[in-house]
Amino acid sequence: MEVESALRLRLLVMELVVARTEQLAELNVDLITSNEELDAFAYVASHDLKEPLRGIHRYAHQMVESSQGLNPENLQRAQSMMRLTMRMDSLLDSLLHFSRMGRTRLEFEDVELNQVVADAMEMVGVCAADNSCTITLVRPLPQAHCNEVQVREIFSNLISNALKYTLQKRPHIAIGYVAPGEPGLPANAPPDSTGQTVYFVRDDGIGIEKRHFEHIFRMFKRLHGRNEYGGGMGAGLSVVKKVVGRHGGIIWVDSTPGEGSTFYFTLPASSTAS
Amino acid sequence: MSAAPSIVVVEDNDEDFETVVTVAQQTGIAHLLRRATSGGECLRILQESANNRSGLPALVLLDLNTPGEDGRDALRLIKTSSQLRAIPTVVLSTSANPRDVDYCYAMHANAYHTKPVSHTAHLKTLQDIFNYWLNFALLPTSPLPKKS
Repeated sequence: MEVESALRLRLLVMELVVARTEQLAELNVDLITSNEELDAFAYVASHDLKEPLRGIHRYAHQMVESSQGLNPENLQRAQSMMRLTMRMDSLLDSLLHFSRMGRTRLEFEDVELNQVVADAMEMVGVCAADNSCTITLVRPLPQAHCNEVQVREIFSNLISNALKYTLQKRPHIAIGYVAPGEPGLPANAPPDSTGQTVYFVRDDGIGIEKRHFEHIFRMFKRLHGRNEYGGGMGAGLSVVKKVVGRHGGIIWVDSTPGEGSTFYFTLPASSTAS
Repeated sequence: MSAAPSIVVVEDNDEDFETVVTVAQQTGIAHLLRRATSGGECLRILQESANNRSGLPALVLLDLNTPGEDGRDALRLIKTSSQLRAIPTVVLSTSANPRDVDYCYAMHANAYHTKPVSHTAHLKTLQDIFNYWLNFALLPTSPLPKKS
């Protein structure tokens, strides 16, 4: 009697597992399709929006070129039109970049972060040569299990932000990490960061008010005027946050206005780490 | 028999075609510009010049996203046709989608360029294309194979 009901239960459970597996497989296919569709959508949208934009830019350009018939005021308007269309072009590029960032397949491997930081510095075109800033590695970074290209983007974005949002003549940036169990994390470190290697990029720039700590990671969010602090699209930190997220990590900021900001983020430890 | 050599420009957008004309004039190239507003029309023009042996165009400038049979279709048919495949076919598209780029090269496109939004950059791109293909590169003398 008991054996019989146990058998029946087993059968039931197996049927359930099979059904669930099929559902999951279907869901997976759906997900892949919708990801591909989203990707195609992003490209088509950016393509189709750019075509009229190029037309507008072209007419504005021609108005400026044939400026004999234009009074100074209208000349300025046409020039503004050119500037705005170029800005829209950059916004579309950022949007495309951001939307692709979340979906392209990522290959993970053990990566030498010291090299990644060196590459990121070169990408930003820093400063060592003309002595206009100093970037110090507090101590050599460990390896991380990550996607090298995207993690380079984290560092290059944070470094270029640190160089932008500063009033220092010679900004100073420190890059380092806090190993699990070590002291040195700020009071606002999220609980999820315990037990993880936390990397940081610290600057002596203008700093960020506490109430903006969350907003700064939002797409196209800028705290300053368009042309202040070298301008920009307001896309950098949202891309950084997305990349960190895709590595299963978290990112946050700690800052004192007028003194500087420190960006903290976690990355998975290398597979050989003890 | 040999009329002025021509360039076939596949472009459905009037403004973009005008830009091509402007650059052609500025660069001082002697080629006749023949416009097709779709991939299908491009193929008709090419087929026609292949049939009446009036000389194939020196270059095809190909926009990918046109109505009807688009630039991708045209590219595929040009490069699978023994009569047409020698014609340098340069893609000029707003799309920077790696999928489009990969597809075009896999279909033997001779080059892929994106159309910049900035007019100055757009002019420069076209100047470079014309300069490279019409002044620097040596083109096939007779893309048309002998009739067998």
